[in-house]
Amino acid sequence: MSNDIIKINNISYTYPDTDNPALKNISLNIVQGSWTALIGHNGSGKSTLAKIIDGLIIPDNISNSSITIDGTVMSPENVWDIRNNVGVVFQNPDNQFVGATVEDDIAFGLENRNIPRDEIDTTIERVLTEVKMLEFRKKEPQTLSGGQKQRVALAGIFAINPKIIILDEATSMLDPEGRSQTLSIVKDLQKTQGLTVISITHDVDEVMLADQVIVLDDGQVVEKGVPSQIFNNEELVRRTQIGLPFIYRLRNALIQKGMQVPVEINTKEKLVKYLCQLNSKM
Amino acid sequence: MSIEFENVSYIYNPGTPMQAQGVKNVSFKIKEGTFTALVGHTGSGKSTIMQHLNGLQKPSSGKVKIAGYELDSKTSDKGLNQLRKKVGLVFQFPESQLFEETVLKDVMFGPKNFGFSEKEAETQAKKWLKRVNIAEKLFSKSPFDLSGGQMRRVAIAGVLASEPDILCLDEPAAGLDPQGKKEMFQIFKNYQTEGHTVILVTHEMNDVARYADNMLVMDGGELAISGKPKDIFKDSEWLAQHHLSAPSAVEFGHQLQNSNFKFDTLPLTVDNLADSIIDNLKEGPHE
Repeated sequence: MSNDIIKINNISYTYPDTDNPALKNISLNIVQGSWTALIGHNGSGKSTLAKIIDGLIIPDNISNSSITIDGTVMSPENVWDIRNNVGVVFQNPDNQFVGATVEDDIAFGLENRNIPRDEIDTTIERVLTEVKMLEFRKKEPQTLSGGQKQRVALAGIFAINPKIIILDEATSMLDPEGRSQTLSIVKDLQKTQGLTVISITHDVDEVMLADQVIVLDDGQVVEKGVPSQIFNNEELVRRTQIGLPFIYRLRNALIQKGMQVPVEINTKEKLVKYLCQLNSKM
Repeated sequence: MSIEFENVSYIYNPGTPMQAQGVKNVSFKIKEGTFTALVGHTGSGKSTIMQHLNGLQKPSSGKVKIAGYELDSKTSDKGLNQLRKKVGLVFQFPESQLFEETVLKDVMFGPKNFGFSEKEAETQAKKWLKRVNIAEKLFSKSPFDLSGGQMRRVAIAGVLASEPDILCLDEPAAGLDPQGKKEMFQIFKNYQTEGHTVILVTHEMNDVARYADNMLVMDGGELAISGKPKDIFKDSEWLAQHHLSAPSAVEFGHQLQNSNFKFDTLPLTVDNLADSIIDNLKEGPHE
């Protein structure tokens, strides 16, 4: 399909000094403007796949595989151009800071893209306001808390306005309020600007935001579908240890204790309504 | 081995343009052998409190009483080695502190540093590596060849191997998969029930509800409240004012209570909640 912004064709990758490939013949497509959750237990290959999409590592089998980003087949010559369109936020932002202050750090990505100085200043102000870190603009990144660092790392990516954003456990150190604020900024960019989002997460409630869920296990894609399809597949959930969102855990607990809950009751609102109706009938 | 903070304030870089208040007039007591959750939104002062527990930071004013030590602004670093043996801190992303050639050596480093013999340190290291589920065949590998989740376990084993009386963990499960997280928390809970004091710094209220006996809530560098999770989570308005959320079960319970459910005690976990829902339905109609 022409509106696939990412096309991954038959990719395998083996880390140096290991025998078992981290990715095994992965093929998948991601639609422009969609939100994809990439899930699977630690070591299933999620972060490796993110590095492949950003051109940070090179697949084992270049001759019979390909990565196409926004219509361009990735090659050593164009990988820098491709990276301009892909923003990755990793879990531990300490590994990503280069600037002496918060604002320098954000300016770095913009200067690299030859953005004029005054535009850089307004962009810094805009993105730091978005992540509620404007008052920290002169601080050294090292003096910030874990959650504040993650906000700055996210602001740095928002600043370069990429077509694709990859969040690799990028909100794991945020407090619940900060996490939902950040996710709503990303959701907003997805809706209004057609940003393509790939979220790598263990947070099953974050998975519920996705249009498409891809489950990785042992370096392979084992399932694709909308969140409810994935979480209703008991055998898959058990085998791949992906955990369940609260509402599914509660439903299962009720069923285990002898209650009947229809399968279509799969959101908080529906379950509250269902239970309250039941409570007034009895 | 109780812990007591008396009017503790801490100021970062005093007298410089970078001066910043870390915590302000914080007082609390933690009883020996309990599991305490230290919560609060990003930048509320949790990590500053944590660093006071083993003298990495000393109060600018006030006093910390811990493990037989009294720390104040005049305490020198001399003699704090034994305090650090008794109080183990696991920082955020502890795997970034791994450095030795092999997994086993890395975990032995802590106990050796605290005066265990080579042999004792090895016994302790092997015991704790097994308890955090690191397979024996990995002991001789470089810690840097392990996956992120395995590195985290090794780093935590490195602190547990000295068997500190007080174990303090800052977001120890961030980035772990649900299964790995559950196993990790079981290890901490067991560590507590074996007679140690555990302090957990976290944003995950579901974990607080499930594992903690007590909670301390920090806001803007001050202690906003301390108490039992079931009492603190009751007041959703207060939680919102302090930028905190309730555990999922509590939030769901509130929604049911707003309609026609009645709970005698607030259900904190999914299991509690399911039981309470079924009790309500059995009791018959409510208005």
